[in-house]
Amino acid sequence: MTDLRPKLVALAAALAAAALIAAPHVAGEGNLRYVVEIFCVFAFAQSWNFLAGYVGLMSFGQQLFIGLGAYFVFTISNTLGVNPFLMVPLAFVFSGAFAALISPLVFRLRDAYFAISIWVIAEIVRLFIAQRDIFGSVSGLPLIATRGMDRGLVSMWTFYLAALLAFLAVFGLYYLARSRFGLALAAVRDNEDTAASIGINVWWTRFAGFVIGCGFTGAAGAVYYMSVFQVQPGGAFDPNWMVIMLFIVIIGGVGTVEGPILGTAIYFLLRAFFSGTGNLYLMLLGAAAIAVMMVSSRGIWGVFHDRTGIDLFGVRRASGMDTEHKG
Amino acid sequence: MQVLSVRNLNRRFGAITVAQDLSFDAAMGECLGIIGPNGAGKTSIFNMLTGNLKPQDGTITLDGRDVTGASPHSRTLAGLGRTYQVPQPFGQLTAYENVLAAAAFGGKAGDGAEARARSVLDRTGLAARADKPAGSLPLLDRKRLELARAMALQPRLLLLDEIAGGLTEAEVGELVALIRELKPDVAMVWIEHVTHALSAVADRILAINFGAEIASGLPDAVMRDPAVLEIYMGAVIDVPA
Ligand SMILES: Nc1ncnc2c1ncn2[C@@H]1O[C@H](COP(=O)(O)OP(=O)(O)OP(=O)(O)O)[C@@H](O)[C@H]1O
Ligand SMILES: [Mg+2]
Repeated sequence: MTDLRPKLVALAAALAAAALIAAPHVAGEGNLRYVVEIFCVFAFAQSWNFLAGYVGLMSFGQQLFIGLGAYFVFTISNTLGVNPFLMVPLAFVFSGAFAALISPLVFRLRDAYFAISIWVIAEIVRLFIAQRDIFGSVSGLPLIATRGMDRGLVSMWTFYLAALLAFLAVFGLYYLARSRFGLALAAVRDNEDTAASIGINVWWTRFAGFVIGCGFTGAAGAVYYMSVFQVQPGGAFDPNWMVIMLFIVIIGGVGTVEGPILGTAIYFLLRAFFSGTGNLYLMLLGAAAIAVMMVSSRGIWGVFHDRTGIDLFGVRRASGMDTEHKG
Repeated sequence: MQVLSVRNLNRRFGAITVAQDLSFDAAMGECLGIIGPNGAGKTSIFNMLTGNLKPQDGTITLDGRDVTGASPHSRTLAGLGRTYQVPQPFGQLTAYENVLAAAAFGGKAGDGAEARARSVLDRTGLAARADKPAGSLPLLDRKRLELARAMALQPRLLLLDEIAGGLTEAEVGELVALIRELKPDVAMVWIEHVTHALSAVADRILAINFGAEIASGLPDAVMRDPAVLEIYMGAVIDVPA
């Protein structure tokens, strides 16, 4: 028995890459901006899905890394006059390094305490930034460097960065989950004692997963705020980001590549539908997420997969053995 | 060659003693059996050997290296493999992935992990269920998976915790045959209530109660020891826990 799926995913990745590269040349600027927002929100959600569903770390404070990534790019670009687009990979490094720095502290805490500790750190960082003039205090920072650049180029490069994030959030996650490191992450997530008993260093495996997930959130946060040319502490560190990530992942299906794709589509449809209702739609999101959780903790994609057996990005490694029937 | 040497191991949980001045060894190609009533401290002794439980006193030596303070994963890399009395699989991973992970990360590095995982699943009778999530397997298969995962590590020291419990006579026979096959290439410590299975494989048996040694030596001699017979009260000896 040969598993065709990795080849199909590779083909899908090639097609997706071609479509994304062509997109800015065919789509209008307004559409591109909307897609950038969708891609960034999807990247936020997928990084939380990676942490909760693949690393086994449930954080309720991931808005921390959205804000850190954004403030890193804005501050460095504005003060040193560097091209902000080149700073996005460094936003990954900076946010990942911050995650590495708080790991020794937050990894001592378990479950709800871990989840809330990061939210507390997010609030502390938000208050810190809101009181410092170099970060523009409460009114935040504009993005200065792009003012002198060509408008079309800025929107194209913003799109490409967001597209890269969305691409990595699908195919990068798929290949990471199928890798040797992905197997170690899954083992640690499922049972840390057993993982240690087969020679896996549990602490470092979880640490690496946390740093990668938070770094990715930070890069996405940078691109999101670059696309609107300004950042404020109240918006960048807004706990509502967390509500949106939770909604998308829970409703779509945690621990799958497909779930958050579906969840993101549902989120933007609902938002368009209920626009003008103010914060009411956030409450509706919460209610919808709870309703889905009551039916199945594995979300819409989980239920769909159980009913149909369809698994587009199956990360399961096939044994190739002569089994009774496939399960 | 001694693979495992334990000297003067001590551990208490409040008023409960799970190890009282215990010393024992296991050499390559040798099987040491451990028996004792429920709650005697057998699993706790394993947890000290694996690094999941800190002894209050004593030393544990693996292949001449003092590992008393070493972390669980580093002991695995030094050649230790264990099964859990209550199966602890990676629930969302398939049986094959459970064993593959052990083959890929434990002990001897290098490729061939896939082939090793398949061969171990075959030998433990799990081939037909290889692609099923481990969490959905019945208890018997999860117990087989414990052994398969430990075998995939290719350990120098193999710790088996009540793997024969709950098996039928025929299944016990198959298990004993498999363990005999493994025995020449490993030092083994086997905790077991199914004493006829243990006697068929063990070279020596250590009987403990309240964490203390009450008898040790050749299987037949230990089984007939008055102190052992008194604790087990005759027929109770063969009832799986
Ligand atoms: N972490 C712990 N904290 C407190 N007490 C413990 C702990 N672990 C084990 N014990 C106690 O130590 C005693 C020995 O437990 P252990 O599991 O080692 O027994 P055992 O010989 O393996 O028994 P069984 O045959 O039932 O498996 C029991 O009374 C148990 O409740
Ligand atoms: Mg026990």
